Amino acid sequence: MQSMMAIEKASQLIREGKCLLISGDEKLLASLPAGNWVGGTSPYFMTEDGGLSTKDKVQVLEVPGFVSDVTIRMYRVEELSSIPDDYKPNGFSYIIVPAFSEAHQVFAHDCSTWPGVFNRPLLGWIAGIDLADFGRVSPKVFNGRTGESSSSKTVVLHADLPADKYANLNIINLFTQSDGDTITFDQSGFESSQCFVNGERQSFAKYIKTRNIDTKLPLVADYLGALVNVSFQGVDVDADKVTFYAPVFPGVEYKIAKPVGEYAAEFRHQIEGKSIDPMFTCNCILNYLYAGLEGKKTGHMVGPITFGEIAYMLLNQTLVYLTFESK
Amino acid sequence: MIPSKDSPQWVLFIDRLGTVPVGNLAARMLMTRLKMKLNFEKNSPEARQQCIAEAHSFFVQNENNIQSDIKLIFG
Repeated sequence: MQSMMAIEKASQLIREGKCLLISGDEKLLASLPAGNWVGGTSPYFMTEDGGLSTKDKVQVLEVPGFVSDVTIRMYRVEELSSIPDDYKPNGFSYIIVPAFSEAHQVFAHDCSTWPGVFNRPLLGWIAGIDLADFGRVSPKVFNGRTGESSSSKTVVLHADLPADKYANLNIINLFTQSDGDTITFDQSGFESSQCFVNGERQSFAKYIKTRNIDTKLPLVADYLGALVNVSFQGVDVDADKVTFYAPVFPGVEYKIAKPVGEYAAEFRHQIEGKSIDPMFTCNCILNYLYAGLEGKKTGHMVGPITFGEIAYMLLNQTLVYLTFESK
Repeated sequence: MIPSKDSPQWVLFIDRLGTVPVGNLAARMLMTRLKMKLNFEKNSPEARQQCIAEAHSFFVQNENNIQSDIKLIFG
């Protein structure tokens, strides 16, 4: 099944009782019938034919039939920490958070501290908008069972698997740490004024400007071999402030990323020879823009282009994917 | 295969956090976070117990899925 489709085809699949993960324009999602689906807004997609921006079609990824006991719930901000309590015994949970919301901030800051959050695969994305509409529309998430949509709540689909299978959540991050300075922070947050460069406190904005650092390259932290990015949003030397698309944390050593060559080609090189058949993937809007992914493929990996990716925690400039394995 | 929470193997696990090359993404992220917690809370006995409890819960719930990492950690 091609993932991109007209609203009529998506509606038909819903009426057939399929369990679906849907992304697309708000007006299209709002017109879908009630059923076994969750959705989030995005006009950017990685498709079977390459990167695409459209408000005329939705992207539909089908949850396999062996998945069972699907529950869909909207969480208010104060309820987010209870998400792991709703994990299924052998399943996975799929989460969509609206960008620019308090939920986005709280999830990013706190999720790793929630007891049990790592016990089951938690994958998902930050719903976004057409960048041309910035400031005029807000991202939304949808509970297809109830018809509720929200720019402040978070939707999660919890699902279980048969005893002979398990869900495996992984990432593909083309960015690696450069050999340069080690950068640390003494406070967590989506913005920073001061940092420590090789242990010496200084203004982070001035450091970036004086070294002419390319802020299309993220900060990269090494989580015991898992490379986790924090992407730059803005650098303001006058305000002495640097802003990010994910929080930095104290106690983590960051380095500026090494440049990547031609993203699509390097991506295909990373996955060639590997038998990866994901139920779901998502990739970052920054990769889409900076690497010029419109019209270019990332192998057979299809899914929404997002304002943040979630693999247990908020990630930037990373592809996240979920597969099912046999025990 | 997973030691009980009061086993001295967990003390060793906590002391060696960040040195065992596990492969699973969740294990890597969890262990990094636990290490950050211990550093922030100055390796207090309470923080160590909380970290052991969280790690124990994770490995028990994923015992069938990450056997190679469990073997690497606990032998």
